[in-house]
Amino acid sequence: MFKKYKDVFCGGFLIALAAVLFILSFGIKSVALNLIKADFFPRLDAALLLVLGIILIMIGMLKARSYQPEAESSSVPFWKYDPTVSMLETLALIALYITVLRPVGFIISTLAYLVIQMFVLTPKEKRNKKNLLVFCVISLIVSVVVYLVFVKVFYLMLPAGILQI
Amino acid sequence: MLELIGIGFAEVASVGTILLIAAGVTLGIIFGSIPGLSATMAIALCLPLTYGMSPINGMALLIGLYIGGVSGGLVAAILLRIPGTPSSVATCFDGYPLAVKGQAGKALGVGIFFSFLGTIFGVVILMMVAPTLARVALKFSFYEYFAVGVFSMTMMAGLISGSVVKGLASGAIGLMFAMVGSAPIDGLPRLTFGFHALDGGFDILPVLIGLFAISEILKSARERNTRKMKLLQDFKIRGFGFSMAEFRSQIGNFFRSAAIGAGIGILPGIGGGTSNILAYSTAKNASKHPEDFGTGIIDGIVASETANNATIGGALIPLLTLGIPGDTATALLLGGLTIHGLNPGPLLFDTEAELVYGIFAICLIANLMMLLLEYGGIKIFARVLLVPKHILMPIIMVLCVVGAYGLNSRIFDVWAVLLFGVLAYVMEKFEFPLTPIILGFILGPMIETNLRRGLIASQGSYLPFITHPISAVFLAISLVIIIMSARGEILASRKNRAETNANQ
Repeated sequence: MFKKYKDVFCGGFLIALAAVLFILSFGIKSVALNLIKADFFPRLDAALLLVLGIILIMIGMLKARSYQPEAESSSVPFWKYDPTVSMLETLALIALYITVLRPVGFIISTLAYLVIQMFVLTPKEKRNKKNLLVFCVISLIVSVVVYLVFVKVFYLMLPAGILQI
Repeated sequence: MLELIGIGFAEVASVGTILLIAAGVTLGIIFGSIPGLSATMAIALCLPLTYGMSPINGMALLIGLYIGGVSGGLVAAILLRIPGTPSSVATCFDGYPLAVKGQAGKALGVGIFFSFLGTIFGVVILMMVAPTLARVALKFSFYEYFAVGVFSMTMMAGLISGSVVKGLASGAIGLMFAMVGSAPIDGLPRLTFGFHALDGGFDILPVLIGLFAISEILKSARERNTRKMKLLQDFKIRGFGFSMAEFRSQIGNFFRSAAIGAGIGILPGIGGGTSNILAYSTAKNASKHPEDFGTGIIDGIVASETANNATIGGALIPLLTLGIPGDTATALLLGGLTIHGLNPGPLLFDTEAELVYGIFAICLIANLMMLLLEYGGIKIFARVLLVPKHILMPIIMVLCVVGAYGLNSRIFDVWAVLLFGVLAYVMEKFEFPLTPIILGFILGPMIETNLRRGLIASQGSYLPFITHPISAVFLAISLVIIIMSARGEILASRKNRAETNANQ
């Protein structure tokens, strides 16, 4: 169902985006130097998105008419489908990492993130204690080296957090 | 001209600069070899490092990465049959079969050597065309810049693979992100949702890191149960693996592929990813023995590797003369110049001639280093391919975070990276191309500013946009491109429908 009307959904999304942009454009204050003000371009872009959205829906309807479902469609719901799970886990992990980065500090949060992320990306049958130990060692080296190189050599600011080096 | 090139070489003749080029090339080859990492990503991650450097040193590192990265893709293409970067897709077609026949050394040697020649061709074109074009572009006013901006947008949307509608939609989404922040001319904030962090708009670096690095990481997360890779490790490499007669037989193929590569490079928004495939199919069509293509003949490797490297010089032409990037990697080089307060454009050739000619010199030196390092270190680069993805990708993620945070020391920028990464991932899932987003993001302000300035100058009249000849020509071509590609799309969908009806 979703795959069949993929382009129709995309078109609908573009139209929604156009609507949001158009509504937002009324909130833009502008000085009238001439006809073209700061709100002109957002509206032009909204119009462009609207037109493209409509065309995409039309193309999508045409495509849907000649759509042939793939022979073997998996019956597993997408939230149990392994690749999706690992992608969502990764996404959540990155969000968590960014959240704790400043309060906890670069070295500790990076160390934790790296170990967990490597573990998440490892195929289930290969997850064992030996691998975990390897991940810990690599992560420790990477987080300390990256911190020292960027802060001491390239003079970039990275959050020190609770570790004061 | 020669004198200026001399100045360029003098500009980069210091141990530090040369070492930076070498470091860039080496890192570039590594990023290029590993599938999933690309030259664009390497430049994005290293861009923050160049803040503290002089402009010429920054460019030395970034261009080294660019040249190394484009060429490095051939290693995985030949040894794994997986293109290391999109620029080396066509290298797989003949490179891998040749390697399977036990001639991996020959395939690699040919690939590396013609990468080298291809880059030289592109850079020579750059040195000949850019100064002349800059002189013409000096006369451009708001109207011409507006028209060139519109032309670049439509050109890119029409040429990019697949659907024109989706290409344009990606461009429109890029335009939308470009509008966030202060509006040009009157400087009033818009679309910031009250976030003061957005008052200055999105910085190009988080956008690029998000679009081209984070989305790759999310993609690789989907491939947890990694497919088995078979790496051809046992190969000998002696000389460049080809004879003088073989070289002579490839001269025509070389010039054709190099011209295609440089030409594609000049066109905005499309780069090595397109040129290598186009050169390959052209070589096949022009060949007296097209049936041999795909079985492991050097013609295919020569076409692909010459074209993708010739694209580098071509892509630098619009960047340096007009400030319009020729592909995604040059979009980052644009960022590398603007962080030093340098605005690429025709004036750069007058005000910063040393830098411009220094960049030419860097290209040539980096190219020579690519030849030496890639040839000498091929065994090591082949080994790098064995580093497991589940260890590599998290480390890349950390470097993305460092790069985004290092920009302004704001966590906000890191969130922006994640936002753009998720956006890119979702858009790719729905078959929207990513490059137009970047072009829309860069060209949006250029188009808007010049339109508004032009209208102020003309007191509200649109006439100058079509009475200025250069502007009129570019706008007319844009219109033709839109009509042609729309027509193509309609015809294709009709044909598709007719076929399905016939099948039923």
